[in-house]
Formats: sequence, structure tokens, C-alpha cells
Amino acid sequence: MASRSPALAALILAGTCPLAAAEAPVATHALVGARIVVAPGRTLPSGTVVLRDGVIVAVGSNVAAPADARIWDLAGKTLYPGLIDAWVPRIWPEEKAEDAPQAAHENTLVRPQRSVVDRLRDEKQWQALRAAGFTTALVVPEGSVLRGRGAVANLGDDPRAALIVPDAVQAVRLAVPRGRDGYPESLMGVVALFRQTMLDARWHRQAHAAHGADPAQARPRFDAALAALEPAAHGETTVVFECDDAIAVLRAQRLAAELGLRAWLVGSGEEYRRLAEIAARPAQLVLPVAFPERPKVGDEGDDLTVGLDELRHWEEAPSNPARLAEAKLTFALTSFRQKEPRAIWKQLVRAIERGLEPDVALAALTRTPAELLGLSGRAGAIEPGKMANLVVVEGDLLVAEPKIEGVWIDGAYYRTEESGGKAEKKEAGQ
Amino acid sequence: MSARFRSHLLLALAFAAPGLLRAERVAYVHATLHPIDAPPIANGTLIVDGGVIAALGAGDALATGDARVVDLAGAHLWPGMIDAASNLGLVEVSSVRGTVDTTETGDFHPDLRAEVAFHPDSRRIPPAVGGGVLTAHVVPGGELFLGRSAAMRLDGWTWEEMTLAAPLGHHLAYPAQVFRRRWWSPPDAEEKFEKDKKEKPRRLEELVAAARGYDRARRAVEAGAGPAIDVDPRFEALRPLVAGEATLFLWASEKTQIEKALDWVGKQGFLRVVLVSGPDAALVAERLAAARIPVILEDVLMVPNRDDDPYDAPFSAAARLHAAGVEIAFADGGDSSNARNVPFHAAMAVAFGLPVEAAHRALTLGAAQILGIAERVGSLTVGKEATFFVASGDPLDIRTAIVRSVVRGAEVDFSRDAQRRLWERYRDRPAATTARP
Amino acid sequence: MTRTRCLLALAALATAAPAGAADAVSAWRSGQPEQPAAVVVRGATIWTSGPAGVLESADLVVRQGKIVAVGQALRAPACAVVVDGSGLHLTPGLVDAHSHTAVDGAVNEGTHISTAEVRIADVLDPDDVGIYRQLAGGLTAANVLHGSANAIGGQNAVIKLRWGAPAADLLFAAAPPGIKFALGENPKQSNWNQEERRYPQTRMGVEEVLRARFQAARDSAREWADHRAGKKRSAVPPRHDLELEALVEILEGRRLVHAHSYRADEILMLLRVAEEFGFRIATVQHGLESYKVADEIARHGAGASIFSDWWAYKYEVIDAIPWAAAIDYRRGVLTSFNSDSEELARRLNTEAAKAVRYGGVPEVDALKLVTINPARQLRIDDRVGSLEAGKDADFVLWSGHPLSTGTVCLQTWIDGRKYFDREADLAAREALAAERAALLAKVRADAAAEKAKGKDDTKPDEPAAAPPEVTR
Repeated sequence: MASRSPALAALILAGTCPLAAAEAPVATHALVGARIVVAPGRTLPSGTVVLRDGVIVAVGSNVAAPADARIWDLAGKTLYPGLIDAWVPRIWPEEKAEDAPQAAHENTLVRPQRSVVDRLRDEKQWQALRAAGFTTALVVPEGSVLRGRGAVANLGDDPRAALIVPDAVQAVRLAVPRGRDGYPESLMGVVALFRQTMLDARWHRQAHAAHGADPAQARPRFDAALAALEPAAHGETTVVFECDDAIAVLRAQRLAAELGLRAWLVGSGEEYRRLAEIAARPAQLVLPVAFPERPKVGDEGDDLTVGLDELRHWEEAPSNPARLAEAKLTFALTSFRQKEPRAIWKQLVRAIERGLEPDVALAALTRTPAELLGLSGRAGAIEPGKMANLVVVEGDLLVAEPKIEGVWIDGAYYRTEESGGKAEKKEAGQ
Repeated sequence: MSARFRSHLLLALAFAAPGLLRAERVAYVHATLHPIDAPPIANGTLIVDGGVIAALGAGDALATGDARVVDLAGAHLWPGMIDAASNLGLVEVSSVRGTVDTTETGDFHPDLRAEVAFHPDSRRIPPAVGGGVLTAHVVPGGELFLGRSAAMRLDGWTWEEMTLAAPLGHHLAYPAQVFRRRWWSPPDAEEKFEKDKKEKPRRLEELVAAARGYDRARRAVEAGAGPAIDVDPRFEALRPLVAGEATLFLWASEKTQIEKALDWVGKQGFLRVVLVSGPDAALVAERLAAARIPVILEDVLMVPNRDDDPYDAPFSAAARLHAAGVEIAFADGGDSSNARNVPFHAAMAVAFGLPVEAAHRALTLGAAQILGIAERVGSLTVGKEATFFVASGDPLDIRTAIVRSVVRGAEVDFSRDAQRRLWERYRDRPAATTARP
Repeated sequence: MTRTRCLLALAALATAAPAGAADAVSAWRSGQPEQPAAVVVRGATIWTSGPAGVLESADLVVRQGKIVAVGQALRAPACAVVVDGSGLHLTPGLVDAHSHTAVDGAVNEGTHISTAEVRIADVLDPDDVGIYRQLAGGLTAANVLHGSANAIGGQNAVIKLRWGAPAADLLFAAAPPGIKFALGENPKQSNWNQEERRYPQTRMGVEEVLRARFQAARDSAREWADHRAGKKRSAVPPRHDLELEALVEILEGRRLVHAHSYRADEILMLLRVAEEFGFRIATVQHGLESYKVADEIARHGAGASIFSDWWAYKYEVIDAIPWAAAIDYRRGVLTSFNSDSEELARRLNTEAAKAVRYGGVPEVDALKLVTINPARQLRIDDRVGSLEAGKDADFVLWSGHPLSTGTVCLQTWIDGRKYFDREADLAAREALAAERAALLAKVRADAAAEKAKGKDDTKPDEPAAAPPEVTR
């Protein structure tokens, strides 16, 4: 890929290239001799995957490596489709008073015009995601209530190359930010602000259309925030609600129905508490599997400080994904709420022990988020035509500590470094 | 016993001397008397002389002589009820700082005297008296060493006259052990709490050790066996406590806090310990009974301490304590503006298992015994102060009307109650003429 | 009801999912109690709070969640669940006209002086254990209100205490909408926020705010009317303003105003402002000086929902008296006792008794202060508040006289479903304790297992290997 090489060269010269070893500008790669998990439920015991120009061109047990391909001997390794994380919040700097946008909503909690594209890539965060096997993510801005537009991106080096779908969703969190001063300072105030802003976005389109049709009348104000929110307010773009508990999920569903929004819900892990009610309405879920830590109860006796409800949640939470699956709810899984993405595997193993089907778990990291993000033709399985996003694992992926050797993203390999500190020291000492 | 303590005691006793103030002899007849330390007396007579109960008995057995006769026409006569832990007299309007004297700053004020800040004409007092609560145990608030409390008669011209007994004892708020986040808690509240949890017990130990050292040094001075040292009023106040001559009122409401407080107090050798607490006291009932520590239930009409606690935990605590053999008394739940509702705390305890007689006793003689004032009040007994009320029935029932209150033989004029005056005025307001439809 | 229908109903019950027993700790663990096809309470002293008054040794018959008959020696369907009421008392479910229970987050949006756009219904919290505790005190319905931080607060939510139901099912669907106002020290922030003084700082300013907002509402209503009639110069539609729309609903008599107020002067001010703008205040809340202007309140047509004996906590309640209810009642004001407290909400029956003590209100009328009167104030009296045929089967079984302090609430029913049963609650405690012990044991076993694996279990879980780093 000619266009990539200069950028690559620049990165190498800058000394910050994250690629392992010296990388030659090869366009075709053949990954040979691996066990290939094409998709959940479809595994080839041994085969070859051919990648060219960042795309998978062939997969099979009898596929021959093309003449121009660099050969990668993956005997003893397993290949999985690159995992997709459907909710990766991106820290946003706090808005200073002097930086408040002049032609947009005056409330700092209303920032739908923000686009994560402006601050897409966080080096450390993306490395951590890759180390957990993720190759693609829906990245969304953090902070405020109407947080702005999220984008679908591959977790590679170059943000412009990484970007697949800019402005894919509107991210929302109906909660009072910590330390909030000013309207609204209550949860019901936040909901009221959300409702009013959605109505205002609809009015904005109507008003400007009416004015456009007949400019000989008072011109309505232009508001960049409302303009950015118009598609979501009219059900044309998806709104994703980040929910802190089961009640918040139900609240989001009610609001979506009331306001005619197309909505997904990022869950909290408490869905098992109100399963029937959640399932009664459209529920497109993105599910974290960050189960609660063990309560501190001391070695003996009972000082009554840990409540029964908290103990129950500690006990029930790992069953949450299985319960949702039982209730025939489809969900994507996310590393969101983990201390760091790799911790997801331990939790998933617990969820599987509690009855989550391994294939459903894998689908929730591949096919389901691919469909959700509109990428089914291009991601979620190791099939010709899809993006060259794969995970290279020694052994199985669905274990507590999978040995993820590296990930392929858009046909480039990113090796995971274990005990990176040691390796660095060793090189420095040479 | 310190000279100061002795002088206070003398002061309190001086005003108890019969004959000094109320010379009139009155006979209350045709009443059902509830002495508490004896079975009820139907159609009874109670004779008051010089502010003290001179005689009581069945009507036909007792001659009234030259006494002024008051015919109670079958009403019920009970000893005045006692609010066993209150800030009555120390606060008028809670939100108006100028009227609030309940809580000093800092954590070491063992020398505070509740009685000197007791406002004799507090508007909160007449409603209590009209509700049959005629004695209040007034306690300062605050942290750690709260000060010294006083038992106050709820009628009189000055705080001196109204002081029934002072000091009743020292009050110690034992440091909290479990952090509870409230909606108003600042973000660093838990961190601060963990720090305090280590610091405060240490500070307590240091202060008590210092007090013991001070007492020893002062004894030496008094015995002529040591050099003169400066007198510190705060440590001076603690001397009776550390010398094993005074009562400690220990405030602890949460289970771990109570247990740690009891552990600590067990090593101190105080004369008497009284626990001021809430529903969690029932969780350590056996230990309290074994240690013979009575409990003043600060509040019965409250929500349970934890989400998991049975819904009636605060209501049934008194019954559980009583069944285990712990002496109990009731208080106004932190709201001295409604000290008149103390009997309804007891009533709720009855609804959830406390025997009725135990409730009556806890409100009167039991409280008096716990507070150490039982020689003066708490029952209809010859020689005790004539402090009683007259009601249409059982004071535990809200529907009972209280028609008369007498404090040390003096009838309290109910019209001094501003609330009653407002009622009478507006009850009799002529129909409004300016009201527009 | 025919025997066939009865049997069919029973059969339906048998094949339906087992109804959940109430869990005193977690609402989400409590299934909705079953609704028997028929229920009959026999031989109780029934306080109807209706025209029939108090009936001795009487029966109450319920079908499919509705009361069908109250009286002596009634016939009931053979399949009816029988509740033995002999020696016991039965009252309508109690109604609390001022509650802040079951709210997720802050009860006040205490920023703007008018927040008519916020809605309690958006933030109902069905997991609040206060719901269960209040059921245990005989409460069946509550007017959940915004706080008193603003002159014009938020929209209310009238709920039934259906413990275990999700938020949407707590709502008392038939209750007309309402809104909270507040006068006096609280909207003036007199007792806090000394540095940044928010307007208004005087009672005169509070009136100014109300008039200004109502005028703005009038203007907005006119603008919309003009727009719809095509009379506007501009084709650009007016903006939907949720705050003004709520105020327009008030002006048009479609939203009930519940106004937190204390002083007689501010109560009178509010009544006159409402009259000028052409509507009526539904209730004066707390209204501790209502007794001073009882005639004016009665003639205006507002109700007074007050405390029995609270006073002396702020200066504006210095003249509060426990005889207020007696005066209001005798002068024809529709009066109720409320709680404004999750603690007091459990004891409204004994609060009612205070009206007997202070002013001699007859017992039957005293009980009405917490049953039919608040129901009428909330305009839900066609459904609840008294035990009369046609109303919802919301009732409470008491161990004795409802106004006696010695009485305990035994059962609380809503819509003909038993949401609280003291016997069941007591019986379940052992199982709860056992469950707790078992879970604690599990937690400890888990900790021990992890220790055995060689990890320090006081630190939070860490991955086995260090986080990955960049290779250069």
C-alpha cells in the first residue's frame, strides 16, 4: 500500500513505531497452519488466511499461499476474527468558560456537536484494547450529558486510516456529572434538559426549513448543537444511552419510545433485576461484564456493614449475560467498566461458567457488534471480503488469561508485548 | 468528690428542701392514682404539702383535713413523665443560629454545664408540660466530650430553681466505626472518616490518661503532698469521673460502635455507665444486661439503621432490651419541640412487644432511677416532689387529654403556652368578611 | 360471579407463573402478589371513611381488585380468599399527600426559581425500601413531590406503593397531574447559600416571580393559539417550551398546584394570584398558619395538607399549633395530615389521632384526614380513599383501633393484591438471615480460594501479567 509507506517511514524515523521488528512494505500476507475460528461455531482445524491490501482475500484448509505473500508460520496458533468493542469512551477535556462555543447551546451539558473524530486516538487506551484482542471499536466522547458523536474505527496507528464511520451515533448519559454546579443539578433536571433539547432540535429543523422556504420573515437562531442533534432527534441516527443501573435502562427505553428515538443501551450489569420489563421493549444492548469486586466482610462475625442487596448482586452479576441470553435478548459485549480491557477475559470465563454459551460470548464480541455498527459485510468473521482484522492466540481465547500474541488490523500486525518493561530495559542495556 | 461538685450538689438539694417555697396544702380527690411503685389506687386521694407528696391512698381512708380540695372527677393521676435525653431549653428555632445553644465547637468540653444555658421561658417548654412531660434530662451536643447534663424541672422562675439535679454525669460520644455516605457528604468524606476512625480513639485515650494524671496531681496538692499546679476547669470537671465517683453517659448508636465503646468503658472503672443509643442496642442486649448498663433509647420513631434491618427494628428494640433484663428510658428523638411526644415513643414500643407496665415505668420511675433522681421524682411516693399530671386515661394513647400539670406542688397555668393562646384566638375568629369567592 | 368464572380464574392462577412473595430487602426480588379472583374480609370493624361510617362485625367483598360490597353478613363467591377479620379493624389504604419517597437522585432541581419542566415521574425509584416500610404502616398511595427549593418546582407523580413493580407501574395512572410550588424561606434560600444570593430574597419577590411566569405562560399560550390559527406573521413555529407548557396547564385548570407554604400572608397572596389568573390552588402544603386564614382558604376552594404537631424548626413555623387541623376542619377546609418524611409516612394512622387530642375532632373524621380527604385533594377519590363499592380494593387490616398507638398494621392490600403481610414478613426473616449467612460464607470461601492461589486478596483483582507496553 503505497500511501501507507511514507507515513510508516515517518513513524519509524520518529522512533515511535509500535510495529514489531522492521516491517517491510509487503501488501500480501499468508497466515499458514493455524487453527481458524472463522466465526462462532465454525472452526477449521488447520488452514491458511490470505490478506492483501488490508482485506481478507482467502480463507481455507486448502488455500495456497500466493506467490507474492509473506508467509507467517502459525502452527500451534489460533486465529479469531478481530474483536469489536461497541463502547469505548474517550476522555474529553473539561470545557473552560472562555472556550464555550458561541453559536451553540449555552448549557455545558449539551454538546452533541462534538465529534470524537477530533480526538479519536488515545495511544495507551488503544494499545490496551489491542492487548485484549480488540481490533475495532465504537469510540465516543466522555463528559456532559449529550456527549457528542461517536465514530467507528479500527484500532490502528493512523487516525485517518483507522476511521471507518465518523459520526456514527450520538452518545448520551443521563446522569449528573460529579461536582456539577448550575442547572441541572438533579437527575430529573438532566432528563428534563434532554427532553427539551430533543424537542428543540426538531424545532430547529422545522424553523430553518420554514425560513428557508420563505426568507422574508424573522430569521430563527442557528444553533450548532441543535443542528448536530437533528438527525438523532428525528430517529435518523442512533442514540446510545450509557446506563448506570437497571432503572436507567428502563428510563432510557421509555424516553426513546416517548421521543421516537432509535436507541441502543449500554448496560450496567444489573439487567437481571428487571429482565422481563427490559425485554418488553426494543432493547439493543451493549453489555459490560465488569462484575462487582468481592465485598469486604472480614474473616468472621457480621458487622452488618455490607447489605444483603449488595451481597446478592455480587452473587448474581456473573449470571447476567447468561440470563439475558436466556431471555432471547441479543447483546454485544464491551470492555467498558473494566479497570483495563484484558480483565474482560476472566470475567467472561465466569459468565460462561454461569451458563453463557461460549459461542454466544464470541458472537457478542464479533458478529453482533458488527451488525450493530453496520459493519456486517466487513467485520465479525474471518471471511473473504472482510477487513483484515484478526487475533492471533496461542491456545484458546475464551480462557481467564488468553495468550494473545498480537492482532492484525487493516492488514498490519501489532504484536502484544508481555512484560513490556523488561523488554525495554533489555534493549536499552544492549 | 471535688469541692465544686459538692457545692453543686448542695445547691440542687437546697431547692428541694420542703417548706422553703410552696406552703399550700392541697388534696386531689376522686382520681385513679398510678403511683408506679405500687399498684393503681381507684378513687384515690393525693395530698400535697409544701411542694411535696404528703400522703396518698384510697379516698375513704385518707382525711383531707384543712387542705384545699380539688375534685378530679374520676380522672387519672400519673407521676410526671421524664424526657431522658433532650436539648429542651437549649434551642428555640433550629434554623435561627442565635437561638441555638446545643452544640459547642471542638471535642473537649467536659466542663460545660447544661443548666446555665437553659432558657426557663423557652416556648418549647409549655407544650411539653401540657403533654405531661414534667422533667427533662438536658444534654449538650457535640463531639467526644460533650459536657455535663442536668435534670430540669419544667416549671420555675430561673434555671437555678428549675435545676432538679446537676451534674447528672459526663457525656461521651464514642467515635463512629462505620462510614455512612449521605447525599450531602462531600467527596472526601469517607477518606476523612477513615482518618478520624484511627485518630479519635487515640485522642480519647490521651485525654483520659491526661485526666487521670491531672487528678492524681491535684490530689497530691490537696493532701499537701505535691507542688501547686494550675487548675484546668476541663480536667477539673473530669476528676469525679476518673476517680470513679460519677456517671458516664456513653453515646453510641451503631452496633460496632457500641461494642467498641463497651470494650473501652469496661477498662475504665467509672462508677456507672449509661448507654444512650438506638435500635442497635438490642443487638447487644445480653452484654448490656450482664454489665448492668441501662439504655436510654434516644429515638424509637425512626427508620431502621440499615436497608436490611427488619422494618420494625427501632420499634421492637425496647421490648428486646427489656426481655433481656436491661433497664430502659425514652427520649424525644432529638426534637425537643415535641417533647410531649415522648410517651408515644414508649407507646410504639408497647405495640411491638414491650409490656404496658414496663412502658409506664420507663417513662417515670425507671428513667428517674437511671438518671439518679429517683429520690426526688418518678413515682407518687410520700416525700417525693409533687410533680404529676392529670389525664383522661393512659398517656400512652394519643387521644388521651391531659387536663392539669403540677410541678413541685404548683399548678402550671396552661395559658402560658403560646400555642394554646393562638388556638383560642383563631378558634374564636369571627367568620371572615373580606374573603372573595 | 358464576362458579365457572371462579373456577376458570383459579385455573388461570394455577397455570400462571408462581406469584412472588414480598422480599423486604430487594424490590426486584419481589414478584407482584397475585390478584385472587375474589377476596372477602369477614367480621371486622370497618371504617369506611364513606357515608356508611363505621360498621361493626362487617364484611368487605373484593372482585378482581375492586370493592364490590361493604356491609354485614355479605355473600362472597365460593372461591374467594377469606381473611378472618374478627376482632380486627379494617380501613381504606392510607394516602400521603406529601411524599419524597422513591425518588432517584436529588428531590430538588434547586437551581432555577422555576423548574416546571422537571418531572418526578422521570426519576421514580422502585427499589427504595421506604416503599416497603410505608406499606408496613398501612400506606397505599402517595403524592411524590419535587422539593421546596423553588417558587415553582417540578411536576409530581402520584403513586401506589406497589412494592416490586418497576417504576412505570408505580404510577397511579388515573391521578390528574400536579405540580409543586413553594413560598417562604425555602425558595428565598434564607437558611443557606449566604454568599450567592439568588433572586428572589423577599416574599414580595416570590409574588413577582409567580406573576411574571404566569404572564409568560399566557403570552406563550396566545402565541401558540395565533400560530395554529394561522394568524402569525411568521411561518416559523413557536418553540415547545416544557416549562411554560406546564404553567399553561395550570392556568387552564389541567394541572393541580400543591403549594408548600407556612405563613398566613403568603398563603393569602397565592390564593389571590391564582384567582386573578383564573384558577384555583389545589392544596396548601404544610400550611401551618392555615388556621389563621381558614375561611379564606375554604372559600377559595383549596385544601390544606398539614403536619399534626411539627413546629419551631424554622422561624416561619413559630406560630404552628397542633390545633390547626381542628380549626381548619371546623371552618370547612378540606384538611389532611401528610408526612413529608419517609419515617412519619409509616405512622399516619396515629398522626390522625392527634386531631382527636388537639381540638376534639371526632374519630371518624380524624381518620378521614389520612384517607378520603387526601384522596379528594389529589382528585383520586373516585378510585381510593374510602371503602365503597366500585373503588379500588386498597385496604388495611389493623390489629386494633386504627387511631390507637397500640395498634399494629397486619396486612396492606392494593388493587386486591396483598403487598404486605406482617406474618409473612416475620416468617421470612429467618430465611433472609440464612441467605445472608450463606452469602457471607461464599464471599469468605472465595477470598480463601484466592489466597490459596497465592494472591493478596486485599488488593483489587489484577491481571496475572503486567499491562502490555510499547516495543521500540
